[in-house]
Amino acid sequence: MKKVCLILLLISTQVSSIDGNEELTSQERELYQQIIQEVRCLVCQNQSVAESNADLAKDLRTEIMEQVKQGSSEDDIKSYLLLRYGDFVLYDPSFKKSTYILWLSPVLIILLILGWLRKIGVIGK
Amino acid sequence: MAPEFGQLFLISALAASLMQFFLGLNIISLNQANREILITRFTSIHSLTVFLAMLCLSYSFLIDDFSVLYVALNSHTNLPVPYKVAALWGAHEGSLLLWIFLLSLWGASLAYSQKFFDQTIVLKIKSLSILGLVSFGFILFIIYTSNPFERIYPFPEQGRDLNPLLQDPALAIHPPMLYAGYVGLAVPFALALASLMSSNDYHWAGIARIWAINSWLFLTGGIALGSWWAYYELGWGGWWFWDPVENASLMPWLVATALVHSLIVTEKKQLFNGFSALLAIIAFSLSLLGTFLVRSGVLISVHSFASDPERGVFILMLIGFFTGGALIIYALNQKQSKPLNLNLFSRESLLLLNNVFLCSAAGLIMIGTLYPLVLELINTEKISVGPPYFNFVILFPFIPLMLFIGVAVFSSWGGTGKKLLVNINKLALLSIVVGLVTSYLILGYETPLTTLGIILALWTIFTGAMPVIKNLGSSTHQLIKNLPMTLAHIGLGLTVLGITVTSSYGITFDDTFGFGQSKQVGSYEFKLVTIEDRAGPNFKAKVATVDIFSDNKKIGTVFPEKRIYDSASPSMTEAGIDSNLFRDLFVALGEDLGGGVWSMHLQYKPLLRLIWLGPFIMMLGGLFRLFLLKPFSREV
Amino acid sequence: MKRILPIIIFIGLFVFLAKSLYQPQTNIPSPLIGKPMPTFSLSELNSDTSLTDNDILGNISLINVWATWCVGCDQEHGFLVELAADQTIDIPIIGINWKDRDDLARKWLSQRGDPYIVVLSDPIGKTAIDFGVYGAPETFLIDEQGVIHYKHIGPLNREIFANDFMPIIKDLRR
Repeated sequence: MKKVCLILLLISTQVSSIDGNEELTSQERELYQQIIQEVRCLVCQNQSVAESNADLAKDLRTEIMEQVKQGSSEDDIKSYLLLRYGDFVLYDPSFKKSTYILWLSPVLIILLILGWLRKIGVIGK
Repeated sequence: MAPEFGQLFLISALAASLMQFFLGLNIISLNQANREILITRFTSIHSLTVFLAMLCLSYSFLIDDFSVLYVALNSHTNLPVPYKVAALWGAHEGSLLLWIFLLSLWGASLAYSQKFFDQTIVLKIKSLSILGLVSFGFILFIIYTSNPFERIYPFPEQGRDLNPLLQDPALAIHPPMLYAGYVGLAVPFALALASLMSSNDYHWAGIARIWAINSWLFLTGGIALGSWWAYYELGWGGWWFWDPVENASLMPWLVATALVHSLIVTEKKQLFNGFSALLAIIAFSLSLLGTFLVRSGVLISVHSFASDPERGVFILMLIGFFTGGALIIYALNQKQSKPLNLNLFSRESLLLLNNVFLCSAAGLIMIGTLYPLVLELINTEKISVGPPYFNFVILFPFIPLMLFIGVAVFSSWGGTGKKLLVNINKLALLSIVVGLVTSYLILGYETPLTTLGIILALWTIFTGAMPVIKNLGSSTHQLIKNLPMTLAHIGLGLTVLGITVTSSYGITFDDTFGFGQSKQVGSYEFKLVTIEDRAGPNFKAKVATVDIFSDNKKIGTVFPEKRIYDSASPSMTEAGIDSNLFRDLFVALGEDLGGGVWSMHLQYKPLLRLIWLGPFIMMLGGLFRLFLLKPFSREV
Repeated sequence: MKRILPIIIFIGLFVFLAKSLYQPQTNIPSPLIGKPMPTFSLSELNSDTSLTDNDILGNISLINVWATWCVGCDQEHGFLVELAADQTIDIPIIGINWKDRDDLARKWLSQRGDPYIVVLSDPIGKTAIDFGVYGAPETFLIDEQGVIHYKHIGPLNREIFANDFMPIIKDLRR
């Protein structure tokens, strides 16, 4: 009797579902949520796959979910997508030669502060 | 006949705005008094004709006149009447009509203002003239590329319906408020130029400040409304996406905030005149840039109107003419400023420093928004720049800004650091202690950044409140004097607090639910009771009943929906939201997975409402400033 | 200097915006160009036997991702049938039926003609993701070793094939 119950229990927990995260730890849930917000829906007008209802968005969410369940890291999953779709698919631009200016733009603030110091007379001409 | 009258009124408005422009030039010789009267009259005619044009279009909507192309594309016989009215600004052509209407109203407010006295009548005339030219450019744009009165033949029997996403009460207020803010910035723009081209002194500042605050007020409200609307309408629970169009509204807001503060210094101390003028020019130019980005199609956005390169070219020409022209006048006429010797901690210099941070923020947002376009042009690379980038980069100007706001409140004109630092020590300590207690004990430690955000938000609130608290015993006048600043700063602090807490402590939960099944999210339990069918005026829906429990007690029930509109657009999600000041519980229906199982999207968002309460309080501050104090009061 | 800096920056911005107005909207470039095609194992439409990427090597060929629900696929289908019959060009076309049903696919092909030497079923879409597919129809040009040399997004027609594909094919055949 106990064996039967145990088997039934095991069977009932094998529920597979789209967007279903039955067996996920809260860390895995967070990772999933974080990634799907950073992946772009390629057939939408600027939406993440988290927000979009497009078929492609659903497929990508499913794929990401599977990989999270398999234990892939954030970098693994992002590389997976980059290899197939290129930089456009991620909302976090990679740091490479063509994006140096983009990522180093906060330096602008320092320049403006120097301008401010000059304007108020703290730094000489 | 109404559309044809509408056309006529538009053309009359074109003529009136042109006259309004000409009257400011010396081509027509008049004495100043007559010139002022005439230009005021033409400003009124201009406003009236645009208003009548709008009425004509509205009439066509209300009688379901589908022979008018714009009505056919944006309306439907079953569309509820309030939406037929609001649909006027639901797409490109009509929203431009709203734009020029609001612009004409701002001009009228300038024309009938009592704020101008003998010395500054010239400013009034010249700025009205410039506003006339701006209107002329836009009315020309409408008539030639975006005419809402265009007819269609043979005309369809039924319209394409207003985009279901727009069929919401927020449509009635968000665009008008936002546009009022955008176009309102044309007034300080015009005043700055008027000053540069006439007396070239500082008198324009006090007047410009009033309109700058007015526009800032509307922009604040418009942006907050947009964020709130996106939150409950789009079915995802997000409230800001750093989408190009959203950025296009935030950039002028940041510069307008800087402008308001710079004008204080220019008005009271006759300093930073050039910088204030430049800010005024840049603020309106950013409004124009925003218009360009939304309507030209160069950037992809959920918010963009249907694009057309021809329209993009026209708007770009307008920008080139007005911004380019303004910057050339600035370069030619702006006087060389005298070298300054300000103490680092004087109010003048701290206000300037904070403006540096505000403008840097706007600059960084601009770089992030346009970068993908630049890269595509240079080496055909396609990248995406989104929330991860902006959320990171915006911290660089905002953290020092939040720090120095509090410091600046305690600064005095021409003052030094010594007394200042003494005054703020206690508040700084208070903020740090309360912040640490809140983040470690009350909410639970997340990251150092979270704690910093909370501390800085509290610091802004405490320092903002201090001037009013200090004066509680003294005269009402002393109390009221500081109220606008207090409200505005407290509002900002609340906004940052809301953003920090909700981003750090919020929980998002996607899962499947069968009828009667419940799941735990944080300390709340959500139970899907049932899903039923319902029919609306122009849609059919599946409505879910979801009960929410806390500590095993039922605390609320929400009814998220999935709607399909008659006009056969893709399905829409209406979220079920249980909210109070402390937290929002957001429930949205996902997909029908068959067998009585649906996927659902749930969010727990603490202190979310602060994100919109904050701007509301900021707006109150602005309103107080406008109505409670007489302008030109030296005591402000 | 301070006074002319704003106008200089503006001129730069203006020119840049003007140029981007005339820039045609480009498709997302594929990172797979120059790389071997992804490995896969899919069942064949008509026989249910399993085929892998190795099984389709050996010729310069086209891989066409299509579906019965896709409007653009319907548009290009006539051209694909012609191309398949064209002995002078002699390029085999392999089809990947994306997120579709086998019975619908067979019916569709029997009604419109079958240009494919073999059709592989990808009902879940995982292989399509490996190919970086985001909207059908998409067509890949691969060489004998299976390296991808070109990708076209959208319906194919005579001109596009002649202008974009033929030069590469000629190059590969030298």
